Amino acid sequence: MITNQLAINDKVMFSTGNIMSINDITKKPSQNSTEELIDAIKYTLKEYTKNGSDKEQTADGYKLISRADDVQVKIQENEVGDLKIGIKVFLTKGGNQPLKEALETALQKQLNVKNVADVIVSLKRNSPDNLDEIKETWRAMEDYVGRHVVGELGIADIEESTFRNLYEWAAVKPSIIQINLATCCVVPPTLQAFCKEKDIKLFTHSDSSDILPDQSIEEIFGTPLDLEWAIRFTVHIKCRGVLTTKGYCLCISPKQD
Amino acid sequence: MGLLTEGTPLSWEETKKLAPHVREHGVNQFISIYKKLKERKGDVLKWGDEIEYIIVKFNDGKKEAKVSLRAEEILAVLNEKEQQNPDTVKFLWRPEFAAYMIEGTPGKPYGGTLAHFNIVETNMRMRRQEAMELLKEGESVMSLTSFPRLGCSDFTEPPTKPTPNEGGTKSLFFPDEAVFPGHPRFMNLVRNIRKRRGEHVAINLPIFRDVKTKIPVDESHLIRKAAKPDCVYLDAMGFGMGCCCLQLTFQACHIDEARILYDQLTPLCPIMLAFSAASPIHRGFLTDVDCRWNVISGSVDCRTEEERGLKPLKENKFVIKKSRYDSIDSYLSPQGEKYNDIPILYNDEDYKKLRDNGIDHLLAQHIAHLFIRDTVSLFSEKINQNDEEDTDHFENIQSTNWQTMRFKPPPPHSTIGWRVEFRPCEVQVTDFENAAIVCFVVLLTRVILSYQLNFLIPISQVDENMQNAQKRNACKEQRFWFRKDITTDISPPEANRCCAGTSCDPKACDMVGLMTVNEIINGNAGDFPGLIPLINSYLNGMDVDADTHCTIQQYLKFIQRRASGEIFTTASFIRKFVTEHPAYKHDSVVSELINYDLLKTLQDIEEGKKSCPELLGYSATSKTRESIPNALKNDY
Repeated sequence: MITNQLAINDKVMFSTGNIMSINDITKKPSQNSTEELIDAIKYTLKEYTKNGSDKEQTADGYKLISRADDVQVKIQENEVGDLKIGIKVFLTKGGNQPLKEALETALQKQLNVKNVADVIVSLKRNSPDNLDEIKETWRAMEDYVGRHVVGELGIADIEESTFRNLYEWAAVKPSIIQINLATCCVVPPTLQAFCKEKDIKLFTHSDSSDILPDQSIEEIFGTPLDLEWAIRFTVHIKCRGVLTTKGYCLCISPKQD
Repeated sequence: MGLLTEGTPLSWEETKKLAPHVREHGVNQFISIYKKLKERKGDVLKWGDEIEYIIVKFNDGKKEAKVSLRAEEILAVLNEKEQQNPDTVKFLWRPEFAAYMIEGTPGKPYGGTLAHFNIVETNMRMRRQEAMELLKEGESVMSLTSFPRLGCSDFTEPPTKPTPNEGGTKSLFFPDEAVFPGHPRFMNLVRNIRKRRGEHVAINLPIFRDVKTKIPVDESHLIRKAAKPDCVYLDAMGFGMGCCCLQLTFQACHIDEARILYDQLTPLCPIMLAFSAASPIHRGFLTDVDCRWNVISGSVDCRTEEERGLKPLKENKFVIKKSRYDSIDSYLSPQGEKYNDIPILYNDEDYKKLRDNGIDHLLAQHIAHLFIRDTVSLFSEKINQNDEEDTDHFENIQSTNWQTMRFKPPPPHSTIGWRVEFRPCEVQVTDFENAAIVCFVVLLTRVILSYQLNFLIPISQVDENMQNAQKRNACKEQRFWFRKDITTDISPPEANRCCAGTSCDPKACDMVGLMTVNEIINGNAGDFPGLIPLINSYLNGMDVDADTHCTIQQYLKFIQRRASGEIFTTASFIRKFVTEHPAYKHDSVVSELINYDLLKTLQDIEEGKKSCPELLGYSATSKTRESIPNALKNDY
């Protein structure tokens, strides 16, 4: 409840900057992404309230809460061609708007780059998968590939049959499927075979598809709010296995009842 | 174990006369390499492991296990493939010191993407298999750090006898025939080290005192004045250089990154030595140490009595504290400079020459320090060199400074960059364990670079750790100096103030505490994050394919368990096997029968015929495979 003074009457965007330069987070390693994200938001809020500034009102009319950080410096330290920038988008609802908003925020406000290597989408888990909703999001993602803003597309935590359907249907085929780390030793052989046949990268993650649960939001902000979307960006140096930058952007809004 | 030059070795007298020549030109050669390659940048991560093996011959009828002196014969066949297809060969094989040893490395280095971690173990397995195919009945290729009955009577196949009064080794225990005969370098080193020292090398390992252990251990002390009655006495280079190690080399992206990795891995050397401990038995006795390190150190200790401080300096220039096989004496990165707290000896003219040629203080003192060692192996064909083109004199001294870490400049006219070698680990019995250690260390280098971690502690404390690391059961019982706050720039303000000044004594900063291997590797809630949690955190931010991640998780779980003491180190396992063997008489003696049963058991574990959860844990299998999937081949 750091944020009593932060009145959230409208949509608010957060950008944590490069959390690898936050030693308090490095010192608490191997927590899951939700814990990491919560710590990152708290840290960002702490810096924000300490520096107390109002200049975050953006041209688009919403508030952006961020902290002074080294993301762009880190990116500029290397040749663009030596870096691999990847994004994972966590969506809580369907529609194109949240995806677009998330990607624009990450690319323009946080990273300040023209393109990224890949975008992986994670939809807040519905059971069973809602293929129509996925297709709608996918269409919007394909558009970014068409405009050369994104190199490859991927999707996380999807049932195998849904993934095959998506693959058959999509104009830009998924190059990546992300599965939970807990299941990486027991991947169904049929999925393994499908990925091998289609040259699809079968990657792991340790994210909950509900990356920031309502309960955590309420704990952080002291009031119930909605998560509209979240993204995580990571920047690696190619062929050296060095991760230089990692951080989150997210958007919250007052509960729509 | 170093540069293999073809040619005719010089006698010790000739070699000794040329020592100043080698030093002068060796330093010049380094200067020339440095000038050409100091700006080299943009190299990707490439890395490789080196595993040494002992060829063991079992006689199941007599229940005996010997070392088989067939390395030369086997290597001749193993090397044929490389000669025919040098670019596509899967494994490279090299001779090692002993006539029963071979060394294998992957044919090509591994690359910088994480998917490479999934092919390491298969490469190790196939490598071993390739050598196994050339064996005779009853033989086995075993990755044993030390052969337990090395130097006992009849420990070789075919049988040999030591010759204390003639030949090269002149050992009471170690016959000349057990030195690799296929290259003159090895016997030449034996002879020259002994001659330079002026007497036999002498290693006294405290015996493990069981209820019926006899003191004096044997009659060595009656024959040799250097032998201590309550120790296992070893008197030959073969006892050390006849041990096997697990080594790793990484390519850095430029010289500065190489310095950082060299420095940051230095405090981890004793930790990984204790963790990998695998050699509690020497010359048929259980000793009170778990590691090979001091044995090798003593086995090539060419220092004269003057240099060892036993006589006033007359012929020699320095009293030198360490053997040429020992832990490093100085850090190389600017960050490390303030932790260089032990005297670093060098010839002023070498240091000055290096400095005059634009080499900074830290690197100049490191190189000059390497050159306090005289050459102990010189070939007539290589005396006169072009210092702008040749590097043999530099390599001569560099490759006979066998230290925990090695800083390696790029070979001239090659595509290879600045490299760092990590040398403390003892080799493990199974490929699973060796792959786990190798992947763990390489992952750690990536974590260090990604989070810009800082493990530096004063070098004197690293040295103290090196000695404690070798004690019996050190992995579980010893505590080691380790840096408490490893996140680089935020240390408490007092520490910053204290350590910023040149007058700082880093020990006083309270940055360093005592930790167990378990605390260092697994972390200690609230106090220290732990190396494995840091690796997991790093992996969460990387693209890792499912199979590779599964494999890495198996490796990390194994390392976690061994560090926590839940499963045995190889050394503890061997100790337990011996002391619980029905034929063991509680006298610290490892008999022919116990040796046979021990090695048979280790062989069965290695081949997977026998599961051994107390050594490996319950899930010592991985998803390792031969090659990287197509989808990941063009990945980052």
